[in-house]
Amino acid sequence: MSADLLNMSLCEVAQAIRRKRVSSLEVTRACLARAKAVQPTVNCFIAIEEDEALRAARAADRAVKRGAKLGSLHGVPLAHKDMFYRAGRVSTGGSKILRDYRPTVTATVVERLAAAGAIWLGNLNMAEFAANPTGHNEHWGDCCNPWNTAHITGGSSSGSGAAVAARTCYGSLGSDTGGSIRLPAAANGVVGLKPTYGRVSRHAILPRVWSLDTVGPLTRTVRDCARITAVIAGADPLDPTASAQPVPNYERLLDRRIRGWKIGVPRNHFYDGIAEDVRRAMEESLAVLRSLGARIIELDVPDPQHTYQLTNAIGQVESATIYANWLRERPQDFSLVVRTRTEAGMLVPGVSYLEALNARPRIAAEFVRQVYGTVDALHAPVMTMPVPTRAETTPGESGEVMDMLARLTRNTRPINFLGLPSLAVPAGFADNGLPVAFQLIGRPFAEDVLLRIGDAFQAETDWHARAPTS
Amino acid sequence: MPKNIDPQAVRRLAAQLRGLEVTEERAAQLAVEIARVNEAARAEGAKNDFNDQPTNFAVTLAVLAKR
Repeated sequence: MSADLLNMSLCEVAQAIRRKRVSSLEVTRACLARAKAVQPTVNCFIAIEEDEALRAARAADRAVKRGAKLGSLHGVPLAHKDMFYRAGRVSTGGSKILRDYRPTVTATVVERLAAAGAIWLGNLNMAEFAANPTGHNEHWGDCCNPWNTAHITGGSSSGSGAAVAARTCYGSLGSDTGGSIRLPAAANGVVGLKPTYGRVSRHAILPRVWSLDTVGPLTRTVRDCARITAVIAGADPLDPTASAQPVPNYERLLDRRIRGWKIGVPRNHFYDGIAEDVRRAMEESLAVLRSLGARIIELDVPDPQHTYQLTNAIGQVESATIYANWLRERPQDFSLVVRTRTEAGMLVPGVSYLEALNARPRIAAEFVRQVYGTVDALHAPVMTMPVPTRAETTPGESGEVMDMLARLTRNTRPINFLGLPSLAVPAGFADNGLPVAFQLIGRPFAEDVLLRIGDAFQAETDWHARAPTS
Repeated sequence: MPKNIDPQAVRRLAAQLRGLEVTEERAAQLAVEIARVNEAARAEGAKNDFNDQPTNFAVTLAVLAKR
């Protein structure tokens, strides 16, 4: 029974709770048991909040019994990257420095999930200060890939990818500044949506790079992802960067009809140096989309490589500003990766930083006009290599850090610079047995297009239904 | 515009401007990193218009959303 429950999708379990086929208490107990069982090997949690989760589940069941109006996530256990503030509750940011930090405010996305009835199961492991794409964490222990614990989970939303894949919860919020939702989604075989910049409020979340940070869900199905996105998206008076663009009912738009839609495959950049087994998975996924009636169109895209250093200019300066006092007063409390990524920002001229920011609208407009004048969405690998091991991605010294970051994030970071939405979708397995994923990249606020394509793909494939045995 | 930055200058600036202690080896790496970032920003900056400002980005995304 427990395994059956845990293998249900978020939407399925929400419906089962609503129809009284199962109680939130049963579901929450099953998730807690699973979380405790995998924690010693996967280490995806920083804190499991058992008593409070059970209390919330009982309250959710009482609401069902009395016929209360129920939200779309009513009684469903979720767990989140440890960076979404709740007033008075510890939020570590995966760091040593914030080990005991208790914010005084609550994140808008947390309020919205609670209003939709979600249960908070616990706080998930993450890369220190959301600043590492591998999932390594020397303060809280590495988060390990449930498909093979010798391999990385991807980061920085490492715990989110691992916890959802390991069936400890039905969905998770992550954040994506350079790939931090899509990389762990890809590495763990789950779905991850990095929304358009400004689509989802960032009020009261741990900042990483203000100009690039986005918040989005990791789930097992695209439909689940659509449901959470609809809950968290939209304007927020507490976050001036949150857009007032209307939020569609994403789930209702999932009609699985993509006949005649044009899906672009970039000829340049995204396939450079790709491993043969990853390329094979990409081709097979394109064949599925073609069989659904989509037109696959190869095209050249404006070279995203030249945005890489511009992203560094923005990221380094903003994160150096955020961590300036700690870098001076307690540099020893940062990991090598975070210190290395941040130090240079102290010395980049302010003019260079603003030149990079001012170039963004022009470069994004060029990209959108050239690409989305021809196709509805781009299809590209999230990573060009199979998921590496933790040992392979442990940098020995500062000089190795930037190279490692560049290899892992070359297909994800440019999308953050451009501010575009991108959906990571499981697409099979590499020869090493670890998951492979493609990303669908859309024009601004075209999350609905990406979700429709991804959902149509999942209707024809079962990669997302496979579970790791760890 | 010089592309190379003197690592000793990086050490001095780190200490004098930001109160950061940086080893010689790390200063050499930082000099390369800062030069790369600075050069990329300068090259793109040459294409920017004097009316550009960072807040234009949100407006641009909203305009580009139109289908």
